[in-house]
Amino acid sequence: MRSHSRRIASMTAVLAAGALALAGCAKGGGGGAPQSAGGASQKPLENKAVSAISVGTAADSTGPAPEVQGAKSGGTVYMIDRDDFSHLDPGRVYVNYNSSVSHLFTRQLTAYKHDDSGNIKLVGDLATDTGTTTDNGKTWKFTLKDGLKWQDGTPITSGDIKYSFERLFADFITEGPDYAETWLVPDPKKPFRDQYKGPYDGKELDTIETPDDKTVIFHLNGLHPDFNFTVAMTGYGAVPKAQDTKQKYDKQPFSSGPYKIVSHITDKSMDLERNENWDPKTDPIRHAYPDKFHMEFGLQSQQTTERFMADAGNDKQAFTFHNPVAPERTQEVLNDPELMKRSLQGLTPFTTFYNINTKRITDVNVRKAIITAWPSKQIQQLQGGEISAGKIATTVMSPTVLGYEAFDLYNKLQKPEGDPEAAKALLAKAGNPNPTVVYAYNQTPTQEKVTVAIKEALGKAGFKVVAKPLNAGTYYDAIGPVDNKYDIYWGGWAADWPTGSTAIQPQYDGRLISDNQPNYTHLNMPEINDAIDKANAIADAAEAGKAWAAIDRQIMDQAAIVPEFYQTYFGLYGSGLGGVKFDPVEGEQSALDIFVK
Amino acid sequence: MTFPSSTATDAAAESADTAGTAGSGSAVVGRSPGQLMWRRFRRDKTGVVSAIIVLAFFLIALLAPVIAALYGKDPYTTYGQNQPGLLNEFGYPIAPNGGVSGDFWFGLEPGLGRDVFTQLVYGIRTSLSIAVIVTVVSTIIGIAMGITSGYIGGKTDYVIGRVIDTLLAFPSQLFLIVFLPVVEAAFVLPEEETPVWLRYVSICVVLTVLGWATIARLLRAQVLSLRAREFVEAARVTGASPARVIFKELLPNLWTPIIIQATLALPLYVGAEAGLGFLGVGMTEPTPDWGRMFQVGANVYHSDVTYLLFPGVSMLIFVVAFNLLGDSIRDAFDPKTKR
Amino acid sequence: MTSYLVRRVAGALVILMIISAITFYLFYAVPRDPARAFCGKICQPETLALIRHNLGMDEPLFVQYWHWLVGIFAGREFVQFGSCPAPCLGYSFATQEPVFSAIVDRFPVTVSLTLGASVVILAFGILTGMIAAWKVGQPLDKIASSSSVIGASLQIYFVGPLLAFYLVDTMQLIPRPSYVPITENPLDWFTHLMLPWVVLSIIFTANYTRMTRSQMVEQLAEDYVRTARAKGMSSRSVFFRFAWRGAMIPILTIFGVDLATLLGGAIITEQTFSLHGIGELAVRAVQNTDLPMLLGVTIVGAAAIVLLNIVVDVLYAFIDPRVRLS
Repeated sequence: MRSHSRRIASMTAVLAAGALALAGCAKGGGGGAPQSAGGASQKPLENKAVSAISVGTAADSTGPAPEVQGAKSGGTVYMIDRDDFSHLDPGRVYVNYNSSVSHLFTRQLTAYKHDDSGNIKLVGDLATDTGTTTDNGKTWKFTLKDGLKWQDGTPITSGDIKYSFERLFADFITEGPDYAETWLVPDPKKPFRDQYKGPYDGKELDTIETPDDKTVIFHLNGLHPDFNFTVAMTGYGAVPKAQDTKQKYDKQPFSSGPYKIVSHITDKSMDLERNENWDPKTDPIRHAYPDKFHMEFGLQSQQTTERFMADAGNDKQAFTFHNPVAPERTQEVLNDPELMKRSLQGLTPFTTFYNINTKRITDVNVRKAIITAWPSKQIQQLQGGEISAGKIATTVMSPTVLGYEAFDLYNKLQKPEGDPEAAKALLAKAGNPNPTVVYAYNQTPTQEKVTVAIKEALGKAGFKVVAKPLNAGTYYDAIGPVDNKYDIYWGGWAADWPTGSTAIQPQYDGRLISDNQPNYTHLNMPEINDAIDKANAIADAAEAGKAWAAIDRQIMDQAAIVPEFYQTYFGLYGSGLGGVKFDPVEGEQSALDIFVK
Repeated sequence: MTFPSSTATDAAAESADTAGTAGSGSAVVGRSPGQLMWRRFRRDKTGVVSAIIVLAFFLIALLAPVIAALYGKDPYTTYGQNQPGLLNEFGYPIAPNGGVSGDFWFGLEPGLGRDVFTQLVYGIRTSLSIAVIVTVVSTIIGIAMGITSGYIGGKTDYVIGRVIDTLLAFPSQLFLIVFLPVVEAAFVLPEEETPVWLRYVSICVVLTVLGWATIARLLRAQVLSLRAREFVEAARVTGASPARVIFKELLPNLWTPIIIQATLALPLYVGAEAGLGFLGVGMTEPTPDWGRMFQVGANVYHSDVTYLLFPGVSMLIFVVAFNLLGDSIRDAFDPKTKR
Repeated sequence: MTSYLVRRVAGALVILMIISAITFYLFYAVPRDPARAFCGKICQPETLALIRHNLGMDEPLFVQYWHWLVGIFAGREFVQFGSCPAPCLGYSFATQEPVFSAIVDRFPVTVSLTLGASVVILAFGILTGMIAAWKVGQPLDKIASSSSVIGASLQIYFVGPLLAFYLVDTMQLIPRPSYVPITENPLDWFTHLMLPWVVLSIIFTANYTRMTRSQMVEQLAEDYVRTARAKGMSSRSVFFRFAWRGAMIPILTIFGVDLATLLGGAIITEQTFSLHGIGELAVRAVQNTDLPMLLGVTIVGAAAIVLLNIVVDVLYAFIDPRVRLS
């Protein structure tokens, strides 16, 4: 059908096209040049928090929140992000992204107040203060403020608060935290749903007492001196009995905060308007400068980054709760001083690490060798560097946890790319120069590359690494059983409130080991278990912090995990907004101080 | 990833009316059809050049370890991470053009810093071997099903015909990505390791299952028309067994469309295999694979477009050469199509 | 005609039933546990069992399939999530929405992409093919033919990022591809889909150029064309008034077959430009092992292809009066 000459023509053409394309790359490619410049405009991230978390007084808890400089009321703020909020029913909110938006319409007994220097203070939100306990945390009493109203103008009463806790026992609420539920039933060892079935069949929970409309008293089944931190979780936010629509409440929660939901189209958009019945004088943390919020979902971080960079039209008044700068655009953003002016960065409460199965690798020296040989730097580089992935971690607790102490037992900051020689020495000490370790990982493109780096680095120290890819959908099922067949597997954790008890106990209390529980290292050291009990009983927050930091050191000494990152956040927002701040508790952008310039 | 469908039917339409002539018509000249074809092919310069290029690709695939040894690098070592000064803090090559240099001829892979040249060379092995296996197996199945269907006819023909229709009417790419994990999960428990060979076999199986229908349909039509011809009738009347009729009478007349179809399908399978890698359901690390190179390339092109060019241009050259070779073979077998 | 349609649709429904049953059993044989995702960070075994019950995962497989089938017509209720109105193709536990509404949401993207690309493919392919046939053997013909060889050999996942780099990143000629609903802003819809259309059509257009050319050449040799010529009709009017009609019939047939492949190309294109269409939905569902979603996408994809084939057959009858549907 084609003559020879024609085919020769196309042959030449393709070779020419190839040559052209190759020539074209001379102008295009290369990531070399911007690198040095990139470093210059990047502010180093400090390991903040530590002593900056404190418990506020009744005076700190009174509204209104201090004015933001230059702020003015009015206008519409736009929010663009990847996903719709998966849950808005407070009882089903656990994820930070859902929490961030809930702050606009859901209030809890307590909440966190941030000041400009990055200090965090626990204050009363619905309550007049952060609660009082006279018996080291077994009984907690909260008093509600005056002038609190739901969006329909009816008052928020202690009965509503009691009801909000009772409904958490219902069968459709399974996603949220279950600390309070476990502590409010008679026996914490038995399933809490067997002991109370929720309020829908008319039964009440008698461990919550409401002597009058303003007072709530919780009778817990153990000592929990940080229960006032627990109830700051959105998961313990207030739900009115009169408006509880059960499953449907998840899409249309009833507002106690400054805004109410006027429309919510799943996966597309959500619109908020002012709640006129919210009284700023009762609220120590929320401003409500904009008249409206319009939120749009379904945009990947590549797209939002692009839109923030273009800064056109409504995007000028846009921010994002969650979407970070797309890693492949990080260099560009860092090199643009104008963009950097409307960027946010900070340390999130998330830590990531690689669990070492202490049931299978019983020799502590082998575990130490793993940490010593670990390619932390390479892994960081593979995931976009410090600014996109996180700071290389050396401890269990994140710097955002009260009491955090920085230490580096395995010299990971000096030799972040791994120290095969030192690891070899440790293996020699263990009398096992070539141990085989089974590394199980979540099979994603990035994790596959990370695995390559791990194999290479551990191999240099003499390890034989067997890599087992696991399906993303069943990853946690596979590593969940106590008798799993893997030695090393990735994990992540964020303390549910910034004290050591939720950062450490669920993961390293040896008495909690069972299938599918967060103690994936299966570490069971009597001295650590004892120390946990002692730290839990310390009423003074700062003293308790010190005790938890000591436990942190004990765990690292046992080499139970290879710490990976203290996760960082790096995001952009539009030029027409002021008061956009990074929320270190949620680890993303906060909407509470935002205003339209 | 383009899957055999339109191009294949196109060719089917073209060659359908000429299949018979290739066998019977050539006898007059006194040379075997093979010799004739070879003579015609040798005169076709584009065909010869394409053949050399295709052959070179196969040779590179076979000799990958030798090439890597001579060049002094391998596709697994993370050079960029082991030697400081090659990658910047975001994992991109520091040298311009994706780190192309005397040491790394085609530059470095962003992130892991592996050598692109050896990745590419070893990647050919994966892509080509899968494509060849799938082409051979699906062609054999296609021949068996097509001849059975056409020769036996009746209910068998109806059933096979419906299966073929269903397979051809389906969005095969969708099925590929949907069924690959399913096939794999059928073989391994979640807590077991997924061996590399299993993924390899699953890809082959899924591509074959979705690929044999085209050739089967084509051959069925051919057999139907051949069955009615005198020489087949004659063989049957003289009491030849069905096996003899199929192997001695039918098959020799079907080689032309079979070979044409196979040459058309092979580059499509190379593309399909790479497409799977691009979508993240193809060969897994650390097996070098072109598809995964495209996946990386599509992620890093903002900062390092050079990386994308090497697999892209290599694949373009291979597919163009193979398509031209296919055209030449078709012309050589079948001079009538050349108008 | 009516009875023909009824028979075709009934046949299609049977095929879809069979496919849904096979895929359902295949998929649900795969070990997976969406329940874990709805259990808080510290997951108690009792809570996990409760969620499994809520999701209906503690029932035998054939009961689950029956519920799924009934759900299509009657809708379903999930304790954990609320209702999934008819037609309920299942509930995606990973994205927490009815599968059907997720697909409906994504549909306009994939339809815009494939429709636009079809227009480019047919218009451009037929045009170049006709030019080539008109100028057989001349330079234009050669250019058209040789570029069609290269076009057919290109890969979406190579051309896509490459064009995006040069046209969007470097030269900033066109906006970065995304989906703007046509109802919102037709101009934006067009400009933002330009690049995906071009990329998706590149590999297909080449085939149509070739086919049109050969069909035209063939038609020009047909008796009726010779008759027209002999009667003194100019070759230009013969070419543009008669011959092209005859050439279009086989091209339309091939196009019907190609629709399935085109949909496949759309998956890669969506992935390349991160457009949120059905293909991207499917790829994400594979990554999440989101079986209800995969099942839904498979069934809808299959239904679309079967339906389109019926449409093409009917169209065929309109264009070619020789074809009778019976």
